[in-house]
This record gives sequence, structure tokens and C-alpha cells, in this order.
Amino acid sequence: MVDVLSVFWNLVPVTLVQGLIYSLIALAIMIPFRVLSVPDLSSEGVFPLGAAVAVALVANGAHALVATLAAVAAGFLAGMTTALIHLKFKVHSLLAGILTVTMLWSVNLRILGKPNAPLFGFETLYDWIHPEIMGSLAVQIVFFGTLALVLIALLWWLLQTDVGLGLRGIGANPHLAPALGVSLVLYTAGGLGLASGISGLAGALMAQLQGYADVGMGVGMLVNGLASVIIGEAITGRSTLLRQIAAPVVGAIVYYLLSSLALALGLNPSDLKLVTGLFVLLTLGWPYLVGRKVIGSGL
Amino acid sequence: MSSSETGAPLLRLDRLRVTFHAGTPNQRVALDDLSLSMAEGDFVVVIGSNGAGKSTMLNVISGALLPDSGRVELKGKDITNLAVHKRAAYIGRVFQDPMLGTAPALSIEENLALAGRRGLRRGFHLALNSTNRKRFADILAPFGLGLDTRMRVLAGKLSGGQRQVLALLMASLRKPQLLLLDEHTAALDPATAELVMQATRRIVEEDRLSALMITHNMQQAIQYGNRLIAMNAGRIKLELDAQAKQKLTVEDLIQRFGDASDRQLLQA
Repeated sequence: MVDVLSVFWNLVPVTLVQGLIYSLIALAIMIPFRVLSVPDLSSEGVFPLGAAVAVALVANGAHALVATLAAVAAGFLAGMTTALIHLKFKVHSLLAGILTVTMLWSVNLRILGKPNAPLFGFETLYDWIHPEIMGSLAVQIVFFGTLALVLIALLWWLLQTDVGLGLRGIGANPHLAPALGVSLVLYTAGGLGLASGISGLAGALMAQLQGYADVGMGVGMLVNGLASVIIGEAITGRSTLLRQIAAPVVGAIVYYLLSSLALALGLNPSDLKLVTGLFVLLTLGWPYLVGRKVIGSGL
Repeated sequence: MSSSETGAPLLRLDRLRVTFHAGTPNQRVALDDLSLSMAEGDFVVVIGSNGAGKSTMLNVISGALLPDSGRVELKGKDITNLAVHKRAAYIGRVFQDPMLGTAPALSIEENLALAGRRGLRRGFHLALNSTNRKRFADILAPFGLGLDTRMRVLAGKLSGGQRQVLALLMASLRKPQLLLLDEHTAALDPATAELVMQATRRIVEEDRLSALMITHNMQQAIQYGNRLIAMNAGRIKLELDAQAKQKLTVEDLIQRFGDASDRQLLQA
């Protein structure tokens, strides 16, 4: 038992860094599901897209900040693509997201030129901001924690502006919002773009931190993100806008800590996705299994 | 759009034609070369049995449905193919289903703020501030629903009648050139329906709105509006002006234009 705790304790700092970066993906999943009511799976492909764009640009001599912003822009475009497939071709948003993810696989390989591209020897965003970041997990925790808080604050502000109210309006009532002058196409595209831009940022940050981009790095991100959102909402609730926005971040930190604990307890890492999948399934299905909910759309 | 186009009526429907399920055994002509003209300040009440084409007409005016042929003109401007969110600048709409007219996950004041930008550019200013919060509460207060002190309550927590009054205020918060009321009291109990109709009259009169209202309620058809239109099979079957409408009684209406379903409704 002491062994388990000490293994877990040693994993905590790196887990916090990991959880904080992945909390951006959880945020990016919450926005379509909760704000727009247009469930979207694009993150799974947009996360490696952001990584690929950032690594390819930095490796070709671009400034790390430019490369990171380009990753956000690429994510935004990918999210808009999903929205337009959904709205213009009348494809269900989940299928539209799967199509985007599938197509992005090829795009990401094209951008990287190979399945895995390293980034050693180039100045990354972290080197540029402060040389201490790469050398200290504690500084990384502060850095990514601040970033998550800034993102929460920005989203909180954005969703209370007239544009943000339009975004929430199409999510709350897609029949009403156009009758009040809100363009369904423009706002859905903008909202999914915003969410995917955050996923792209997460990919760029992760790639520069670990020093490489891999086309497979998005696999399973979506279900982890869903699990994070579910856990987060169980902790913070959804009674206010701020709680709804903070939930994915809180949830991601708790989820990755729980994962590390499970690994410290001896869970085979390759079994983690199965356990996470079962957890999400059970959480979504529980109200139906015990008969408390007859109809509804789960998450 | 300016109102300077002289001579153009507020609303002109010109030979609107809508066919559902065209080319299938279920083919049905919903609007059969329907034409209608409405002057500024008119409050037109539309009656007719189910399937007469009333809601189809409203959907074509609001842009939710595009006609197979024909034209919709608002103050002389052709809006036949204008997107819903664009013509929303000129048209306010209240739906039959109280669930549809408000955004349930937004608070009362957020609903009003959302509606307050109808037809305006939306920017990155905070949607609510102390000024418009007070204004929204002041607008709600006269309706006696007690909502003005509960502005942060989610619209989803309101009763059907409260929601319809809120929806009415949202549709008229920025004065529309035309207010569309699609059986907006049909889903309410009689007492609540009466309350919502009083709110409707108050809003239409105070803001001098032009309105087009569909109803199944013959009493309402007599009591409200300055023109009455009876529709049948996608056409206007009968039209009464203000003078003729004033002499009308419920019995007249039922005998002349009513059908079985309307009679049942009235007796219920």
C-alpha cells in the first residue's frame, strides 16, 4: 500500500501537467455538447492536427508563437468544416465529426510528412516564454494552470456577450434563435470553430512539451474528454455558467489523477481505455438502468 | 429597408403556392395561389380548419418555408427567398408551442437580451448591464406575472402562460414591422389564454404594431383585430373588413365558416 501511494505521489506532478493540457480538450468537447447542443467528435483529429501544424512550422523555421497560433487557426477551420458538413450536407453532427477526423488523419500525415516527427533542437513556445518552464514540473503546473484559468475566464466573458448569448441561444432553442436574427450556420460554425481552435491549441502545447508530434496522439482523447466532462459536472454541477465552464477543467484534473492512481495500483496501461469507456458508458446508462429516466439523450 | 416606398402595402402575398410531398400519392396543395394584402396598422385574424394552410402561410412569411412559386413583399421589398435570420430584422414571431418561443436554458433577462438584438449587429459587449436589466424588468412589470423580480430565473422554469407573455415581449421588444402570432394561446388553459390575449392587445396597441394572428378560438376571432380572414384548402374563403367584423357574433361565425372541429373547440 505504501508502495502504491509513493508511486502515485511521484506521478502527481506530471499527471497535473498532463491533466491541465488535456483539460483544454475537455473544454473543447463541452462547448459543442453543452453550449451549442451539437455533439461533435472532431477533437480526436484536431488535437493531432494542432500538434502537426505546430511541429511542422517550427521545424521549418517559423517562430513558435506563430506556429502555435497557426495550430489554433487550423483547428478553427477544422471545426468550421465539421459544422458546414453538418449544416450544408444535412449530415448528423456526430457523423460529420467522424468524417472530419477521418479526413484529418491523411491531412496530418501530409503536414508531418511521416507518422512521427521530432522537434528537438528548435526553440519551442516554452523556451521562448521562459527557459525555466521546460526544466521544472512545478513551473509547468503554474503555467498550464494559469492558462486554464485564463481560458475559463475568457469563455465566461465571451458567453455573456451578445455574440455569446447568440451561441447559447442556438444551443438552447435552434428554432427560436434564427427568428431572433441569429444565423444558425454562422454561429454553429463559429462555435465549433472556437471549440476546435482550443483543441488545436492543446495539440500544439502538448507536441512542444513532449518534443514531437504523432498522428496517433489523438486516439482515445475524445472518450477521456467525455469522462472528464462527466466527472467535472458531477463535482461542480451545472447551476451557473461559470460552473459549467469550469467543470471540464476540474474533471480533467480529477480524471487524470484517477488514471494515475489506477496505474499505480497495477492497472495495465493498455487496459485504461477499456476502463474509461466502461466508466463513460455506465455514467450515461445509469439513470436508464435504474429506471429513473425513461427518455432523453444521455449526455 | 425604409418605409418611404409610397403606396406599397405593409405585406403583400402574391399567388403563393406550396405543395407538400409533390409527386407522391400523399401530394397535398397547402397554399393554392394565395394572395393577401395587409396595410400598416392592420391586425388581421386568420381562422380556418386544420390543414387550411394557415400555419403554412405564416411559415412562408417568416421564411421557415420557401414557396414553390409566388412572392412575399414587405413594404415593397421582395423577401420571398430571404433567410429566416435576415428577415427577422423586420418580423417578430410567437409560436404555438410555449417551448419554442423562449430559450429554456437561458434566464428571463438573457432571453430578453437575446431578443433585444434582433435585427442589430451582435458584438462583444456584455449582453446585460444595469441599464438594460432595469429596462427589461420595467417592461415585464406591468404584466403582473411577478417575473420582474425573478429576472435570473431560467425561462424553462416558467409556466406555459408566463413563457408566452415572455415570448410576446421578445417578439416585440424591438418593434417589428410585422408580428406573427401562430395560435399562440392554443396550448394554454382558457384563463391563461385570456391573460395572454390581454397582453397581446396591450403590446399591439401600445407599440402600434401590425399583426397577423392565427386562432382556432372563435371568441378571440371576434374580439380581436380589425380584419378577419377565413381560409380553406390553401385559399382565402372569406374576408371581413372592420365594419363587417364588428357586427359578427360567434354563432354567425360558426354557421358561416365553422367546421366540426371548431365547433367542438368552442363548446369545450
